[in-house]
Amino acid sequence: MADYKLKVPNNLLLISDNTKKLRKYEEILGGIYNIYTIFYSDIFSKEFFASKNIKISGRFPAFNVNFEFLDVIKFDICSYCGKCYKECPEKCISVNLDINFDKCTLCEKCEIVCPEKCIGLRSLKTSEITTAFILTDIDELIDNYKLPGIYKFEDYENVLSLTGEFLISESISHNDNICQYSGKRDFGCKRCIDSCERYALYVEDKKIKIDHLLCVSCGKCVSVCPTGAMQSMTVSDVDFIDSFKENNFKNKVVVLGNHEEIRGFKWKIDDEYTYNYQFIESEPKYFNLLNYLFLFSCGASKLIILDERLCNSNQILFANRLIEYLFNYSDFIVFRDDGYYGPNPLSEFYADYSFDTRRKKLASIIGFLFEKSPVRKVLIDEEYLNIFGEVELDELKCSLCLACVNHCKIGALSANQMNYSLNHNPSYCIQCGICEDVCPENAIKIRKGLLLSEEFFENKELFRDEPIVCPECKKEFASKKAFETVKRKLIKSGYFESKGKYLNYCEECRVIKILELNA
Amino acid sequence: MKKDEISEVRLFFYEIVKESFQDEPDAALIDIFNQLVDNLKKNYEVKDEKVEFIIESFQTVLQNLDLQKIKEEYNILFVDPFSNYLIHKNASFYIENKNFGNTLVKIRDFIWRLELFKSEDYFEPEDSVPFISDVMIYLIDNEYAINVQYDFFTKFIAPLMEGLCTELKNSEMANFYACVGLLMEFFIEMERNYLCDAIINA
Repeated sequence: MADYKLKVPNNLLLISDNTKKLRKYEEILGGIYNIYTIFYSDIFSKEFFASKNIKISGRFPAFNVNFEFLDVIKFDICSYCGKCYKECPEKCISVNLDINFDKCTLCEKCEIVCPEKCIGLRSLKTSEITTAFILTDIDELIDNYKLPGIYKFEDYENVLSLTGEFLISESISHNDNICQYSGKRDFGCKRCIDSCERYALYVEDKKIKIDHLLCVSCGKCVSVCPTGAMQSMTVSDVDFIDSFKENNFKNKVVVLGNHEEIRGFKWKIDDEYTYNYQFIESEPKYFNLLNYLFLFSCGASKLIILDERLCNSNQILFANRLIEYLFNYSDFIVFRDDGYYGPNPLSEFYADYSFDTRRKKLASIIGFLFEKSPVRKVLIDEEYLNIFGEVELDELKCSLCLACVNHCKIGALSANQMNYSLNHNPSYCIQCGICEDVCPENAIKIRKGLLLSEEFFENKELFRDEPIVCPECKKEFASKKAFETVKRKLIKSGYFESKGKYLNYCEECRVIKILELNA
Repeated sequence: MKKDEISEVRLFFYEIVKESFQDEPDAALIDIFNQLVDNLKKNYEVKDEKVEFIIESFQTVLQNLDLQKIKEEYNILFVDPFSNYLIHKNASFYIENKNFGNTLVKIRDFIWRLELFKSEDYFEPEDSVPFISDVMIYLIDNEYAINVQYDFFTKFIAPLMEGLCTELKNSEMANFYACVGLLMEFFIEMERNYLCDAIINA
């Protein structure tokens, strides 16, 4: 993706319940920004729009702010006759036509006496403002709209830093075809969005989108994505796997870091020992379980990551724990050279450089490691990573509608059309929970945690049904349970007589039958 | 020198800086510069190459340029939008490399706290040389604490004037204003030393 320019407009909305503050920021930011103001109050103000009914939609840099404001006096038709001033029993109307609503009893005498009928004490108008930024001190707004572009007054420097023309260089991409977030249901895996501290990821038009202006390329979204839908533009999974085709680092210490970090590391080690090391210039911040386990399974005896910010990474904790459980080999990944370089415990190394998706590759590597491990059953119940689990099915409830399969892009659930079965491969399941959510029969339950055994890698048949045969053309066209479920629902809703008459016929024959009946 | 005398000198310098950049120079301003050069020549006792250079430069320029030429120079350097020699007069530009930036907001915030306001007939932004000179004149006149003056000087005046002086000295179209730049540079150095000493002794 080529670099491109993005201009953030200098529109700014100030919302405060303090008129002095509104005036101050109008003064100090005026001219630099096109400023709109809302006085957060239900007391009429001649100077500002007064409103407490404010709805903010959209996102930075184009917020739409809808608000209702009191439009008590129509100044364009007021003749300043002063009758309202004289009539007001509370004397709460000033000569400037400011109304003190603290004193006003809403007796409406001013409304009645006005010859121009330009006073409406409860008169509301709606308006809309499109703005790039909002500065406010109203906690309710800040709490409800935790979005970039909405800041407290004292953080106005954020506004200044985000205004102007920017050269955007995209560093990450998102592939909706393998993403396990369902926009239609607003449900599923949103680990990338949850991990982003800059709110640079968001949902729009039922899809996950990236705000490249706000993105600081921290790599967290790429690292936590279990499907590989989020990818780094510089180090994609395919490129990573592919780059090791020619590399032989069996029993070597792999050192991972950027150019400067590796140079610093090299300077500190004795030249005679450099043959022990394999240096990889890359960005470890984008790495995840797949990368770490791939390096181990290909023969690395140690992985030194020259980025201590990753020392609490759950991906690394999990990788270390899994390797320890399977091979009794501890601290494969470290953050400084600890001087211990035991040989890689694998008798044979992984050499499959093909690639489908991140999760399928990970399943393949874990399968390989499990095969080489002497341990036959491993349960990792520490909640370092919540990307493993199984689907459990209540056969009695399942109607084989296959809604779950349609939503499982990663392929953990699949249907076999030949034998009318629903199948599950736990090693592909990322625990997005969409299948559970989408099941109309409430037949699916998710069981979290990684239980490594032979079955974990096998395609398990969850349910099988018999096909129903069309009495006309003898074609098999649906499962019996699906047929029974539809029939039951039609009967329950009273439509079976009118619509279910030819339900036992296949689609083509059903149409012919209905046409014959109407002829 | 007594404190009052120092304040007077400081006020005089800020005043001529303000006048030099506020509008195109007039005969009165040129007279002030002529007198200043004469006074420096007569009264500056310490032998200083910089001061001598400033005096010489001003003498040469003032002898060779009439008021009309100086006015033209002002317009080429600071007014004509189509001039290829325009020089920025705003602190934001020299501190953040862009006009209308955070520095302008900070200066506005500062003067808001002083309860000062820009009059509506004044069109230059609050971070322009004349405006911040005026703010400093106000601070000196009203005997604001030396740390307030020091802060304002180090945060805004010094970076703006240093940047501006460099631009003026390097501009091929600046003659009179190159001399003003030299004078400002000399003055900033003195002002910095004075404020540092005053802070230490406060």
